[in-house]
Amino acid sequence: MRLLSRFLKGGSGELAKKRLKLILAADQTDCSPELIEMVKEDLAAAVSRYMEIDQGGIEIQIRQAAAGTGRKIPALYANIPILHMGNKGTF
Amino acid sequence: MSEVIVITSGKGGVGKTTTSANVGTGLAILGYRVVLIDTDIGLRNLDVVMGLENRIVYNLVDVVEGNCRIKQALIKDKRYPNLYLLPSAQTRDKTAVNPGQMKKLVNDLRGDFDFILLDCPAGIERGFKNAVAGADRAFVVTTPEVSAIRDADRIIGLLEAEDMNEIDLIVNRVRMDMVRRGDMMSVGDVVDILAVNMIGAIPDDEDIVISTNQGEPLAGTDSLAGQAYMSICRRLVGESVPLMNLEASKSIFRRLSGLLKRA
Repeated sequence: MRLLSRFLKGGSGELAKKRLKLILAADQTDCSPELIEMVKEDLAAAVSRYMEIDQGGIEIQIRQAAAGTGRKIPALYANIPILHMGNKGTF
Repeated sequence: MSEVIVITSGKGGVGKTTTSANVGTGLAILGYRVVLIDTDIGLRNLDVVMGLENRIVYNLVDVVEGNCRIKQALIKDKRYPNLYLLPSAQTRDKTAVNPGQMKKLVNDLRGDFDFILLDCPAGIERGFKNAVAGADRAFVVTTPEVSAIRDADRIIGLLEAEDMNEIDLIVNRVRMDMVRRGDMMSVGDVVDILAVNMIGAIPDDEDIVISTNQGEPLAGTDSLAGQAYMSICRRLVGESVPLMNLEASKSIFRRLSGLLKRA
């Protein structure tokens, strides 16, 4: 297996690079898909107290964004479609 | 105007202390007033790498606890003008000092030195927080290995969280023979993955071991690593020094003798 991968993809350096990219992405976001789902539900609940939103249309992503030093850091992006602005009479 | 630089890595054994010793020595050779502070309380090493272990009277903890004045604890390196070492305590632990005390200590030294280099302990606990507290900028040392790079990434994240605005990378122990045959990540790969500015790369060099054995830093000598460290110092003071071609720099003579040894 090792010999094979060596012939196919060059040396182990390339493998190290690939592994690292995955490891760092997991380290930096430090969250599972279940956690993302929980964030989504809580966000929906919080926002819908103030405006009517399309619960099914919410999209949540963790993407790389540039920090002050120009380095990439993970950032939470939420796209929440609004059906009606203003409160729904809850307050 | 003094500049306080913390030399850190997360992972142990990647060359923080060697880098501290050589960058400090190099800056002193260039004529700057430099103090090296070993912040690894309980596991002091910088004194040995600098060859100054026999001259320690007082240490960092003595200064912080007020058992002596700062000037009494500073060891003057007789080989280089303007180079001083503040050794760490060997018989205490990291909790003997807190970040506030470290900040004060560093600020007290600013008036007397152009560069204050803090050799940080491995890890991300108290010792790291102490060392980082007083620093204006950071050098993150890594080697082209998966474990070291992963820790470097974590450290960079922590430094950013501490609002460290200048972070530079030093890629240490690069083996061009391995890079060439594809079995080691190149300096470019490492920079690409960590996405911070690189201030220098150091080739893997036997002379480093010899220099540590002797207690004499390599900066200023014509060894490969010595030259690479000197380049870092020059870049640090604003000179534009092209990146060393680590590949071509191995002399033909050495390469031949290497071939002969193998044959």
